[in-house]
Amino acid sequence: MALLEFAALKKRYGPAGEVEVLRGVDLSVEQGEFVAIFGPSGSGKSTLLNVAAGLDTNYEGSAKLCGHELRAMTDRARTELRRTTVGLVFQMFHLVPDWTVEANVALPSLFGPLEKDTAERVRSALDRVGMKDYAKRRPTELSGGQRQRVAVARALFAAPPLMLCDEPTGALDNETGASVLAVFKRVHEETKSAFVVVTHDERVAKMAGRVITLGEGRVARDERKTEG
Amino acid sequence: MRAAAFVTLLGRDLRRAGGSFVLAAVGITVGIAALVFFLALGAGMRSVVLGKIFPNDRIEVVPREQTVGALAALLGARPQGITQDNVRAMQQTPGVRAVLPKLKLLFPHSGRGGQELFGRTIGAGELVADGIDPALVRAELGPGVRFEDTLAQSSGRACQRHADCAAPEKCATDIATNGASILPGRCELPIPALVSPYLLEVFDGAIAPAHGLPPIARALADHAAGLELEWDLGRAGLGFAQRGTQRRVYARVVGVTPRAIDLGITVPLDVARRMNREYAGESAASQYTSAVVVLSHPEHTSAVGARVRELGLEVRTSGAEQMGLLVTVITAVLSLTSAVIVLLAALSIAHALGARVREREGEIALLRVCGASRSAVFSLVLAEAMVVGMVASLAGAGLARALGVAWNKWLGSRLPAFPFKPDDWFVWTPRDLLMAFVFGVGACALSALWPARRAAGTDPSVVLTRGVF
Repeated sequence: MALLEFAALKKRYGPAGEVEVLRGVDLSVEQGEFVAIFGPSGSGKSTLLNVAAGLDTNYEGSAKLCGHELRAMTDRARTELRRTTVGLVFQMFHLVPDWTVEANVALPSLFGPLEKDTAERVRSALDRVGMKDYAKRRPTELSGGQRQRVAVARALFAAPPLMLCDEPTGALDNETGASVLAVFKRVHEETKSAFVVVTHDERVAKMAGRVITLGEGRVARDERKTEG
Repeated sequence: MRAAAFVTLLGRDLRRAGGSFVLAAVGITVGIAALVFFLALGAGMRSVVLGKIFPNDRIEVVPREQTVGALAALLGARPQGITQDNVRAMQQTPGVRAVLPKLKLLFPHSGRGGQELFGRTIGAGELVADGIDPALVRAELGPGVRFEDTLAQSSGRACQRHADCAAPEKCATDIATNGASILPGRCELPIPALVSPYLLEVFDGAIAPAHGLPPIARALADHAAGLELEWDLGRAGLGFAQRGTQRRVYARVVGVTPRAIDLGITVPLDVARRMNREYAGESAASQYTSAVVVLSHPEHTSAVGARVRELGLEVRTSGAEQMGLLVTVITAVLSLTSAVIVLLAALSIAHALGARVREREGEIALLRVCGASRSAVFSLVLAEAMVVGMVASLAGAGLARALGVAWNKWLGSRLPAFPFKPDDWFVWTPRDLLMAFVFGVGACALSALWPARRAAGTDPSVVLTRGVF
């Protein structure tokens, strides 16, 4: 079973649905894949990610996460599915400024039980992104790259099988962006979680196993790299 | 969302919100304080008005007013009184706990006394007295107090002065037309008398201050047998009895009871009968002049009143209903004003919460992304308002109690003594406190509905792409 599966996915915006952003996307992502999604601005990359995370259910066609049709689920069920199976990383980090790093990372634990102990999960997630020494700091005391790493740790907290990242290096300088991507690479190798990264950053294309290009609301190109 | 996590989030949010809720919370506190204060003050006033001044668990029954012809009146005819049959019928009426028949002394009499308490004698040119069945006060007075006609037990020995009699007997005498005692007299035991706390209250509150006399309520309560009265029968300031021998006897206060006549003294029924028979004729001795009907609950007033009228008697209105209504209306107006303050403060909370929700839009979106359902976000915002409401309402209730203490203290020292001046002006009922608390919290919860709905509707896919924090 595919982890993420879109079939004839369409999405319109505007009061009368006059702006059609996705015009029939067929796409599936398997467990352990590292997928980079490219496309010009307005091609529907972020929209695709929002639909995949169950944040936007106002679509036509089919969007399944772990076999569940997202639109057919209740808000509570969809929220729980997202909490346990999806880690989200945004361009703008979105950390609560007056909470400590560890409180930010442990945020998903507030909304339901997870298998391992929260403190252990926080330690493990921060360790993976190289931020374990910053647990007691507040986001305002960190650099942009460090904040993004904390955001990645938060996404990793529930050990989700799918990481959805929207322009994760978009707000970072070259060097910092590279360090964050290195974290992605290491985490992917260690956890075997599937990564779907929407980006304009060519470095992501180099490290991804699959590169998808969106154009005119459809999958224009779907390129898989061969091992070795 | 887990309860512990919910509390954690709530605590963090409230700590951060800090000052933004303070002003609104102060409004709620003031409103609830005013509400609790006025409710307790209203209840306190009701308890004084309806519990002491106009007790509403009893009605006074009197004979229906009858026209007695001028000739009949000249011949000494009196309106029909309350018969023993009437008393029995009233006792058997549902909702009646007891019937206290009374026989007023229907002839002129006057009294003086108070040397023991005041150090000087004070007198009343016209005295009012009635008689009640001793059985009605036996339990209240206790076994050591004799409340009965003592004439038969008196020695009747001839005397010139009190010293000639063995205590506690006094030298009772007939009186000459000039008011002088005709000697020799007879040694008689003082007639036991009861006074009402109402009388003591009026005396202490109005008469004693006017004459520079000490208050007697406490002294009499402590030493019920302390006051003796020289009592002239058949002779008073406005005239004399047309029959009987004018006589000077003695009465001794043996107890203070609400069953006694409000303004006067109450003696055993047999004494009243004996005196009425001598000074006003047989008809004045055989029927009661009034009866107090004690109800098992004030709600039986109408039904018992109807039965009383069926018996050809009347209920004397005391003004209790009107006073009770007045207190209720004033309390309602003041409580309504307080409720408006609370509601205005709740609007302020709605405004503050609305601003908080707009300010925290990104954070709320993040909560949604990380696993908070719409209902969890809704509950969180609602709970914030309710916690503010709880804290403010509790503070308000505390403030009201503190104001009550200050009020009691201030008025206790500033206001002059007056009848029924309460030591405590308030009645704090758990029901009123609970009601005010629920109102405060409810108003805050209501004010939070719209901001909570707005927060729950936050669309993370829109908000988080804006880079809000």
